[in-house]
Amino acid sequence: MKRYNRFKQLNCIRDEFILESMPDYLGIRTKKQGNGNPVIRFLGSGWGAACICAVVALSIMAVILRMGQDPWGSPAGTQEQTDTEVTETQIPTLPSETEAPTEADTTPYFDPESLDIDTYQGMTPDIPYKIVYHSNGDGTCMVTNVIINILYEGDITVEIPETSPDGETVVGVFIKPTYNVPTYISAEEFKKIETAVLEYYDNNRENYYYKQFMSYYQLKGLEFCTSEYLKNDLLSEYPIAAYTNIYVFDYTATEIEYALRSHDLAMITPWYTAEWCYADRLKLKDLAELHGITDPYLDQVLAAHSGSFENVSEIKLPKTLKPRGDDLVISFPSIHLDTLSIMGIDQMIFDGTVAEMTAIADPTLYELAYPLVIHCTDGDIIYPVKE
Amino acid sequence: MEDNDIIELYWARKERAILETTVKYGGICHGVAMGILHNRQDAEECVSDTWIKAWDSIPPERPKVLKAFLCRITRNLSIDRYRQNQRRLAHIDMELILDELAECLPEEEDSGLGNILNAFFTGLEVMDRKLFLGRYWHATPVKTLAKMYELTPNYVSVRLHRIRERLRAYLEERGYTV
Repeated sequence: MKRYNRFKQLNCIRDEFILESMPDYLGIRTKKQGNGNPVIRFLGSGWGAACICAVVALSIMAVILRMGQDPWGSPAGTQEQTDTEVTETQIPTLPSETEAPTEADTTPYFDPESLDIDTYQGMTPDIPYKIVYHSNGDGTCMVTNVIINILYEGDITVEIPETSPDGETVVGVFIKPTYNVPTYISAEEFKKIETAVLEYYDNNRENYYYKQFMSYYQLKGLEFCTSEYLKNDLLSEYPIAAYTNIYVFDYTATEIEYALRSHDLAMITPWYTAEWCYADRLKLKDLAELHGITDPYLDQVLAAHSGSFENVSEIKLPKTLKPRGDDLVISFPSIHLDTLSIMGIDQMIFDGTVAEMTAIADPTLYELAYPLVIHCTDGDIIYPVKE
Repeated sequence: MEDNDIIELYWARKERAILETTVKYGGICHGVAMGILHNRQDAEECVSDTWIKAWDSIPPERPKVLKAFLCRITRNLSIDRYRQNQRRLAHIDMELILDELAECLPEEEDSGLGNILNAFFTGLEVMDRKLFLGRYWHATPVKTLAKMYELTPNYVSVRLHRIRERLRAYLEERGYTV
């Protein structure tokens, strides 16, 4: 049954992509069927064509000799009747052959209307979050991600259940911190990210993923402007470009594309957290203030800086969490906790005792930038703040 | 007749809509069904069912691209028919397609997968996309694809294999289990 579902899953492909590969396919198929018929094959060959020409020529000559007049001057009624007969018996042309999209039609593009999409990661605006499970294959599973719906309005309480929809016990939770995608960054700082991305893809500049990532960024600077007009145009839009080259993220990218790039950064440059991103933006701001200029786009970017967890008021953890070996099953490396607290999550609820939570994530091992309280059934654990 | 006019006929609940659709898109839908079913009678039945389904769906639907909309319906009906017929009329090429898809797509149905797949296909080269969708959307045999794009069958197979690998890695990075 599931084999067929996979086939159906491809139905969500965009219309353009379906049309792109359609006409040639049907054209070939029609041709192949024609070649399979020996009569048609013969008629389609050189000898067949010669025979057809000869028969037509002989027919015309016979008509001329018999009627003693121009064959094309036959009465209108007869001609109309012949046309009608031909129309009725001819094989209709496949629409695909007559309406094959042009190259321009089939060139892939991002549908501007996709900006209006009302779903994020398949979630409608009324679903606050989505939990991604990963089966361990032994009746247990891990929560590998919690995707917060950026379209959801209002406070969100993330509650991780004890069992997954498949009936497997949840024994681990990995809550990933938000990685803000740098949208306006100095070329110098972006170089660090680019180098990391390039290294990740084996220093291959032709790598598909590398090219995909880089395609979202455009390098801007006075040295790349070939005329005064272009320089003025650049400075009117990005005044900070007068003092440093900058990379600007594609402003037409959709929320989903942004989220996917964020996912790329989380995987490739885990050190580039939301905090680091904010620091990079502040550096540009400092530079602007140093030179006494205002950059409206930079202000806009700074104002929009946020993490996707900002609407999350609390996270409820299941009691079924278990430590495994030296690793904590609940992924609380300090950087993650730190990032969570920066993003505004200052409390979590654990459906277990203080002792159980301490066994999972010992507070003495952590030093956070902001306070974080985990409420247990028999008390609270306060994670210490770095002094 | 233009697509918009046909859709208007559907919205006006005029049966001429089905006639116009048959004239304009009968060939394409039949081709899509034949690619999956390899059986003329079954394909014709699927195409007939497509018109009924379209009649039921429009309204409320107002498809942006009628051709793709109808092909989707035909494809869905054809794979359902193929499943029913599997013991009687299993086709080796279709079996191969289903097995190959198992290498690169997750078992579970997920409504969020569509956006991710579209993002992946947008990033692909045009030829890669044509090959992949030609093979797995239109169920075109590898030899036909090779002929269509003037490539060798072996080259097409290798390229499809690489795209499947890439898609699998792409989905796994995004939390899907393939």
